[in-house]
Amino acid sequence: MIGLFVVFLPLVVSALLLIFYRAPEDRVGSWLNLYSWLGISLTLVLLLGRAFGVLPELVDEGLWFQELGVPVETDFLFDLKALCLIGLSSFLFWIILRFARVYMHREAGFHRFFRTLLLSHFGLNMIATAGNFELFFIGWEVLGLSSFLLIGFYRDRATPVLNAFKIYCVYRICDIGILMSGFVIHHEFGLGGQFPELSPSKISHMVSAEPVMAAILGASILLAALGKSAQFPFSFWLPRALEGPTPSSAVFYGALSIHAGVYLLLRTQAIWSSIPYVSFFVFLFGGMSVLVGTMSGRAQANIKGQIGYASVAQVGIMLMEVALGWNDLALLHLCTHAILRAYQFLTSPSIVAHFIRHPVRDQHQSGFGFFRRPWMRRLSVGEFFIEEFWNRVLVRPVMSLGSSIPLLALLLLGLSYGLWSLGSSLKVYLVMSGAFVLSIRAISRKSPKEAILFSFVSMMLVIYSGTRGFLDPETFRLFLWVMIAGALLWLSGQEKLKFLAWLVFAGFPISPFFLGEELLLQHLGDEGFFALTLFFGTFILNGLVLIRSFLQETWLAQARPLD
Amino acid sequence: MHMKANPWKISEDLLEHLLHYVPSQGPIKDFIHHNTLHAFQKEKFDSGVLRAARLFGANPRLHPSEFREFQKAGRLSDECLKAFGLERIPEDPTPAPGGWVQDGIRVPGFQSSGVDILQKTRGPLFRILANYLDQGVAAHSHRSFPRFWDWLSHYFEGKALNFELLGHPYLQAALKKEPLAVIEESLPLLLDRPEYSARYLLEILLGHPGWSGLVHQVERKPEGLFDAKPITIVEFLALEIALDVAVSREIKGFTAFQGKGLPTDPREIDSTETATEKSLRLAQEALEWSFYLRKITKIEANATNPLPQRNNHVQVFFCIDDRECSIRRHLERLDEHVSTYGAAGFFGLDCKILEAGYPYMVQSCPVVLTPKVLIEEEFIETPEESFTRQMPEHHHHHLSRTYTHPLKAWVNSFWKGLQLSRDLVSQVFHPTAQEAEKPTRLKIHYSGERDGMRLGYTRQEMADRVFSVLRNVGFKREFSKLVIIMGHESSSNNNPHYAAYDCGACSGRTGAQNARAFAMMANDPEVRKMLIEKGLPLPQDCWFVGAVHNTTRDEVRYFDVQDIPDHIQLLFAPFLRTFEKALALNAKERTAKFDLFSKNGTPEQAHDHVRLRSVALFEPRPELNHATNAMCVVGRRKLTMGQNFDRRSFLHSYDPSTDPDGQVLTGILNAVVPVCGGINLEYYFSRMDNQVYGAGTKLPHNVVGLFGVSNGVIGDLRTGLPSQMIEVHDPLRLLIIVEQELSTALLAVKRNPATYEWIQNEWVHYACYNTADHKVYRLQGEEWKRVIP
Repeated sequence: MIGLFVVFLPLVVSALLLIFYRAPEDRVGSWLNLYSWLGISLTLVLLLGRAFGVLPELVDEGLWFQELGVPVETDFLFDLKALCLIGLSSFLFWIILRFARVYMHREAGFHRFFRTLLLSHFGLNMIATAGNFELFFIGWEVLGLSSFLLIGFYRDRATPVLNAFKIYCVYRICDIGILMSGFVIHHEFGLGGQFPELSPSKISHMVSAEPVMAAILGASILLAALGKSAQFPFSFWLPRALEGPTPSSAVFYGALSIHAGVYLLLRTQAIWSSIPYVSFFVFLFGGMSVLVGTMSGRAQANIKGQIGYASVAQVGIMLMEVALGWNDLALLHLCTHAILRAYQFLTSPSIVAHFIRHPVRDQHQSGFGFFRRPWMRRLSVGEFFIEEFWNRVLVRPVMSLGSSIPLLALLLLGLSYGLWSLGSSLKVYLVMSGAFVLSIRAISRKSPKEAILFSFVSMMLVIYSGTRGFLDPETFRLFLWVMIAGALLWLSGQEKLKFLAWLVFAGFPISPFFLGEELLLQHLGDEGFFALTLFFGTFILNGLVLIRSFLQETWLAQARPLD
Repeated sequence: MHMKANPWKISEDLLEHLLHYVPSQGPIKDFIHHNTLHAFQKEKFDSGVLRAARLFGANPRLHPSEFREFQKAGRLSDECLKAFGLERIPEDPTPAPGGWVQDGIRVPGFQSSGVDILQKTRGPLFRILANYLDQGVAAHSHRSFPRFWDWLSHYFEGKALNFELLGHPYLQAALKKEPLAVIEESLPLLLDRPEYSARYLLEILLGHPGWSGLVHQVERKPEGLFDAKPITIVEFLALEIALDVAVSREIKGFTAFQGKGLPTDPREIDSTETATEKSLRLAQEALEWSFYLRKITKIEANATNPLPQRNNHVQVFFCIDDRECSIRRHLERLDEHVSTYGAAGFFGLDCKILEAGYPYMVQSCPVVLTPKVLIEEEFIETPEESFTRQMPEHHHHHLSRTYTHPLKAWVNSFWKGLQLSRDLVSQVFHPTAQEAEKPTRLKIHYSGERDGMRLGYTRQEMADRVFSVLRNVGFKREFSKLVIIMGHESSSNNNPHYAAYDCGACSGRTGAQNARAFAMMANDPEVRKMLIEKGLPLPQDCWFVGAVHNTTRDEVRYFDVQDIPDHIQLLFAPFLRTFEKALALNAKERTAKFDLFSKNGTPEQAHDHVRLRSVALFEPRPELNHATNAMCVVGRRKLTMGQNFDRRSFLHSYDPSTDPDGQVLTGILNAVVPVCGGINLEYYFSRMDNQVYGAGTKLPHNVVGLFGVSNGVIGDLRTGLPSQMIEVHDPLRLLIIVEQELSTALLAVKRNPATYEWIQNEWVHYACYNTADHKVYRLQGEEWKRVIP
């Protein structure tokens, strides 16, 4: 039980800060002080309890909740990996809370900063101790959301908000990996939920039975890990993320969040190591990240970017360690490296005073002539043009495709659906395709209202096609109500309510939509890979459309353009 | 045949004119306070402020709600409001104007084709600029080139990479030409008429004022970067305008932008004020005079109150800095045998200083002077270990580049991570700083030349400088046995803006060596003889001691204490004890403005608290610096003694009776007006619009190249003061009150047109405490008016 207390305490405090958002700063300060000591003490008790074998490794509280037929089991694992991460994050939050208490003094958004920071602590704890994919995904999404909020902490300027949006896009695409992995394991492989149950022998058995699904599984886990840890080819987002106050950058991009991908790989090693070639790809992408992170980092003339890219390179090494099966080394590397980078971030402003006194004027070149070629230099300074690459191969094509889809085509699609009597399965495909096309159209719309309209229609279509024949009318009606409630929240015009509406629609794990998605996923699985792709495509795009509209209508509308 | 002049020609004069409008802040290690709107100083304050607001897109005045809060707090009096003819503060808020960049030709022009030119180009542009100019952050540095343009050609050697915006063929071709030619050739591709060239260039410059300002400053003063990186603003503009063309080439059906009748020169900006702006101007004046009148009442009261005669056993010279205002009061209150004086904290020494253990020399006198003399400090015994004083060292910075090397960082991270976890705990729970001070000596005597600098002063020069400082404060007869010369400095940790906290008269450096050198000069027997010849007979047994007051920690270091003669030691020992008490009281007074310190704390606890602030990694406000500064008194201590000026006044000592023609006053004002006025206006404008004129909150700041800070990784460099420095500042213009006869006071200030410009155009207020009738008068136009409305 004490383990659960450690996991959920930050969430409770975060909620308290949300409720008492008008409490004076000094009172909040004393709560935070109390909490930081309580948190670190409880963690110590937990660690000691586990060390002496008093506390159990697996806490299974049975079914947490079941809605619409989707069970979420409460399995919390307190094994060595989890204890390391819990210990590390408790230690760092103990330090950072003390640090930020004074650092953030009188800053507008003081309460907001701490409640988001604590929310991220909860997310990390969930990731650390989650015993199954559902809980892991909850932690993963909570961490992503708090990361988004802290990057966009300074909403009075446009750049942090735009960068927060960019990073959210990467997160949203990569996070599908976790959802997908859980789906393949449970639905396709028919295996039980708890991580310890997923032994390599069971997985290898399924891998030989369903090689395609196994490949998808491997790719999904890798995608999620690479995206969250800013590894190649997603490394470009890390320097964009350093917009928040220094302590939050230290926690997220120096210390904890950036290691979440490594932790995912450690946690699911039993699964992916049984799938052929995955280890090789982990090693390969790790190696690429070392190259990209090192070269970009060494060319960075700003201190935070330099530390950020240097972390990318070290995390790349961790991936290589994990790929080689040196798990304990990777875990130790993770913990010590997190502390090193947190310290570097926290003291980064003092670098002026230091180097002005002790200038280093050596032409510090890398050893090989290869790295000194002008084009290599340009590649490093340009951070390997990864952002430009994604813009060209993904963002711009989707945007131009969307703006060139005529509405008439959609009408024809609808007509054909109505006029021809097609088989049920084909109809589902047709509607799903329509929904997906609508989403692409929505994302390319410049006007938020139009974009929202398209994305709503597409969401309705997805639900309709997904639930056809599977859901009882009662459940379908429930979905309708949720959508209407969400729409009303959005139309209320209140920033906070709008944000809540976005969480609901984007399928954040607290919303019924999330369960609905799980459910849809399970049913859609029968329809095959194509339907899944359409579903995820629509899911990703709609979330992005909504958050972009939200940002345009609220934060960006008040932000000053020059900064 | 007569050739027609190229209408797209860009003249030097035009560029020079445009560059007035970029911030004049150099590398951050030399933070020198100056008037943020120096470009508008040639016109009246009120029209300059409006014009600047419309150019930069800033708020010209405080928000009406802020005035109402001042009113509620009693800091904006109803009488003053009435006196300025303002019935009530306007209700409607005034949104900041868009400014030239947002409502101009370039940004909206590209926007109409769906391109956000600022967001698109800033990444590639800032990255290569930072990489080129970098002073030691990046692990890969470049060998130096004679010109930025040559470096660019080298940088783009070989085939352009795919995805590379800067690799566009237009840009590649441009690099083969001269930068000015590139500008002149590119403008016609972007604009339909040559009249708008200047405006377009200015819009480019103001699209990232921080970077433009830095490049301009590096061009003007290349020595500001210790690792020389030549660059000119023309090269910078050429690069960016070629980039603009490259972007425009990617737009289908691009047509040249039209000027649409927009003003082509900032001087054409309409500065007529709206009704709301007029009300806010009056409210601002009422706010200023509400404060001034309260203080003027105190000064006039002092004139009529007889002050007790003081026995001058010890005289202490402080800097005129507003932060020394309170310590002087505490000191005088604690011991009636101590008198205090104020003089500009460089103590007349127009020199550069090379401190022991420092890698390079720094200017240690006002920025308007060009010193030719270098004073060196050296260790008495050469120590092997590194020298550290007030700035706590973070050893890992030595290794910060090592940590970018994948294998070295991998090996290091294991043991360093464990070691730093211990350091994290100690730095957060018990912040401390290493302090290891080695005995040093100062070489003040002339000993030849080096690198175009003269080493040390001759005795005659010393005598001249000592004489002029002592004459300025009217120091003729009443010498004590012990005279303390007190410079000031500050200390802070984890603070890139640390230079903004030091002595403004020493160009943002510590005043320690100036005070020490001055005391050495004044103690020199040869110099004493020369002073007698000049009519300033210092008593035989009078001794000067150099010292420095740390305004953050409220601590004092005294120099060359071992040389003090025994009979002076008898005076010095009790003085030390008194000063310790005064420092604690001063700390206590300062902590009243710190929310995180209990209001009931004792002076000793307050003293511990301020010391903690100076070393804590997590403290964005080591001290409040010049915040709340609002006035400057040039006159005898009698005017201000015993009155609480709440650390808001610069205090310069001056005796009108020794200066009948006002020549000395002119000299004082020449230094006081630009230095104090610059400090005051930098605070004023940073407070007025912290996003445009200031640096915004410092919490997300990121150090770039050791020469600046930006928000995040590819933000513009931020100039001005961060919000943590100005949040308690009330934006009031400086009121200078001089003690003199009215006519002499006017004569003195009009002697130097550069000084008079500040006053004539109302960038500072000028008032006179009339020695004839003991009343304060304000200069309006060329007339003296009684200040009480």
